[in-house]
Amino acid sequence: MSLRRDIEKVGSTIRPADLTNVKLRYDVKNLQGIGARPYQEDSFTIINGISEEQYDKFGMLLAVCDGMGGMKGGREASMSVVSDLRSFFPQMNRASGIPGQLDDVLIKASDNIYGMLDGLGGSTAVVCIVIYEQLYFSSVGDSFLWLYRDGELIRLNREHNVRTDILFESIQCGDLDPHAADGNDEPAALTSFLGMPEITQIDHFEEPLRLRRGDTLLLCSDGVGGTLTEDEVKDALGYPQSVSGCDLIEKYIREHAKPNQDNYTAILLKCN
Amino acid sequence: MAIQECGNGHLYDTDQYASCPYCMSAGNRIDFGASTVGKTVASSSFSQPAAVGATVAPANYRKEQGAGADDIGKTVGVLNKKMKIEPVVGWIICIEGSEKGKDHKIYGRVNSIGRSDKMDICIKGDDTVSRENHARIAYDAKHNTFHLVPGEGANTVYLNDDPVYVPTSLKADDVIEIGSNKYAFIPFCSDKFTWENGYKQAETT
Repeated sequence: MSLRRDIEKVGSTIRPADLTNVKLRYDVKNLQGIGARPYQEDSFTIINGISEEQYDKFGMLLAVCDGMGGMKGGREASMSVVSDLRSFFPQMNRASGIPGQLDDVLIKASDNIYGMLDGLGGSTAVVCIVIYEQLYFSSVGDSFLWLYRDGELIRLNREHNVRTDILFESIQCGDLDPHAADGNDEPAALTSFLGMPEITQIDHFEEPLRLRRGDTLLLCSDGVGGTLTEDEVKDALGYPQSVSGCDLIEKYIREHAKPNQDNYTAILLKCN
Repeated sequence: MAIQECGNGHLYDTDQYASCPYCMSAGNRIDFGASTVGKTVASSSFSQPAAVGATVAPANYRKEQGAGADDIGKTVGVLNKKMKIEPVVGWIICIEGSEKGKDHKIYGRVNSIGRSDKMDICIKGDDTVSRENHARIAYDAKHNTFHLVPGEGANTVYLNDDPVYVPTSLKADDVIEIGSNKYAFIPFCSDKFTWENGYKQAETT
């Protein structure tokens, strides 16, 4: 399984005129809340998010990791991924092979968690690298990566869970029923996460996506993506300033007032 | 508004906060090296302490790794404890029926068989297979033997066309009938090879 469908969807909106090198300015904000949980198991990190000089030179890294609830060490797992990413980024070879390096660091992070927690804890990860106005990403698990472009909301990654597998399988059999996974006991159970003996699925771009003025990216845990409707996400990303976008996301989460609201974490990047 | 990036990559407004509000203990950097992360309970805007709907581990990994809240410290396979990757000890390969050509791995423990995703060996698209525990295939590392164990349900499993009501030992090329599919049993661990001792020939040379 690959992400070709989404790449094509994104790719098709790029016109040759956009390939001229337009320097972008980035506006990054983050949001985190504990929801109705006793602990915060989500972790996030931003490298070179503020200093224009730094991100021009070295690029920017954004990551949201959702530690596995109901398992020992969820927080430890998500923080260990963040730590691995932070030590990786300064040494990354920026000249070539960024997608492979990004996958490798996630595989390494997964092994580290497995070594530390012996399969009793895990984490999702959605990681973006923005360098020279190009976007790279890798994602494992059920965290979200959205791109808002020209008033359209585009999901860039898949959720690695039982629901996706069932839907994929039924589509392959020619069944387009969107409720195919409804009968399953645990449709949200992850089929790929960091901390398992061997990662089974990673989503990434083979080729980077050139960012455009007006693009907005949202990286978030399922506490955001699983609570807000797509229209609400679109609303928040369409907001002209990223800080208000985060406020809007939080407002919607409060309005939904889910009694079992999960930890929620979001990073919003606006390209100006 | 003065946005600052703390040492852990969190952005916050220094006009509002004296130190990073996202780091677990305000004012301190998180020590990523140690595994003693503080379980600080932050103030919550929600009242119910619930764990419903938490990100859960995949059902099929639970049994293998002992992952999952209910299973912590429970069902960790013997071989799995010693090796990081849970080793395969054999296969069943569908030779007749809707799954014809498909293989399923057998791991070094009791392997449940059924339609449900929770099963170790999940046979989909066949309603004549029980949801859970239609049958089980057990590998005993101590004696290096395989057994076919009948399930608790109403459906019968057949071994070489005979119904199985008691645990029955398996040998290479036995045919197991589960629902409307027939599977050939192919052991990997045998007289010649075990994960414990490797190939027998290798020892003598």
